[in-house]
Amino acid sequence: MSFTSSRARALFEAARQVPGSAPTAAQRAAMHSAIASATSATAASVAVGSASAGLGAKALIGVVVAAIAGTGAVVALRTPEPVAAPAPVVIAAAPALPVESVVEPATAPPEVVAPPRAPMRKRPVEVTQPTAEDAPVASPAPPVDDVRRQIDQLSAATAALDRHHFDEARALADAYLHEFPAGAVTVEARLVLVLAACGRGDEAAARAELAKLPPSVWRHPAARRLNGSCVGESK
Amino acid sequence: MSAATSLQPAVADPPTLKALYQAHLDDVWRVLERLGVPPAHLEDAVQETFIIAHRQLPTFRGEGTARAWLVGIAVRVAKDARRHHARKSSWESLDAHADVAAPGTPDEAAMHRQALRKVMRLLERLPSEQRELLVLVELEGLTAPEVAEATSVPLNTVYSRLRAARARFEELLEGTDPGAPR
Repeated sequence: MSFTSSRARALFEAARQVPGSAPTAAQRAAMHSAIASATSATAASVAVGSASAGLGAKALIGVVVAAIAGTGAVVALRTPEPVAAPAPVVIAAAPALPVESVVEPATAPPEVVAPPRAPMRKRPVEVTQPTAEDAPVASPAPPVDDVRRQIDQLSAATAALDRHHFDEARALADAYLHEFPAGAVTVEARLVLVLAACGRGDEAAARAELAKLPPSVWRHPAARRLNGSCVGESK
Repeated sequence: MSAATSLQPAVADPPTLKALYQAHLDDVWRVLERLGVPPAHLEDAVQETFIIAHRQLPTFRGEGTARAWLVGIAVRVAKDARRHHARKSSWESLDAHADVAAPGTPDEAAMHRQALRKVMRLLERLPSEQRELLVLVELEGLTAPEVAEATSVPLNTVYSRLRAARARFEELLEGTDPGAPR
């Protein structure tokens, strides 16, 4: 399957010959620093959370696994283990990552490997200056902060899910989807709704939520725990 | 199946973020740019992509390629970024994108850059869904199953949307000047 027009095919073929632009060394260094800082903060959060829950990193991986992949199975299987132990940042369950050297681009100068400070880079102010077209629209939130806020909201929802506070999880996921209908973690939020409904024993509601997702959701990385839930494919 | 078994990660050795970053930084950068993230926001968008990848890495099952998985995250980040910035901004990105050096003789390189610029300008006139598809498939070389995996869209839907996107692109192309690269 391809273009029927030879002109279109030729145009794309020519366009593909242009290698994409790439970040400069300075940009690589800046991104490396920011990502290393952010992922270090995430790991610290997980470490604190797992300690407070009385679980080691391996146990955390074993019970929570990641993202939304644990509670659904736990709910369905009625595991007697205290799996409701708080998992503070479920979607960040990546303690096994070598956080201190998470990213180290080959072109990055050595001095950026261990950045002295951890804040995320802030977006330049000038890029949000309103144009005549969007003048009536309120200034948008910076995307970095925005995505982090989205992740925080999803984290809160999944944490509630893992505490078996299903109504709270549903409310948080609903709030997220209302605020970010096309957000960065929309699928994950909808999965929380499915699993929260299963947790409440409301299979009909869970299936209704599931119906809002494309069939391919079963292949989504965060959907693994669906199989162990009340809407599992074997059910 | 025991609970313990069901809760085991499906992938014993998922790739590390470091490995993903080193292998795919340029891919993520280029995809974000081609999806219309303005140049001034590319660094932030790349950071967002890898931070989300870091958080979701334990869920990566390795059924598709790591690149396609990362691209899927980048697509969502790009959507989010585009929502926040004026449409005009993406034009800067498209022009800057085509200004990079291209292989071949100077004439060939110029023709290739012109072709890319034309492609990007036509893509800009497509609905975002179709534009994304053509960028991922026709420029980035992802397969339809990889796009389905990356975007959580059913494979048949990907095929039908791709067919529609190609048809629309051809319509737009036929409406342009005949002196365009063939």
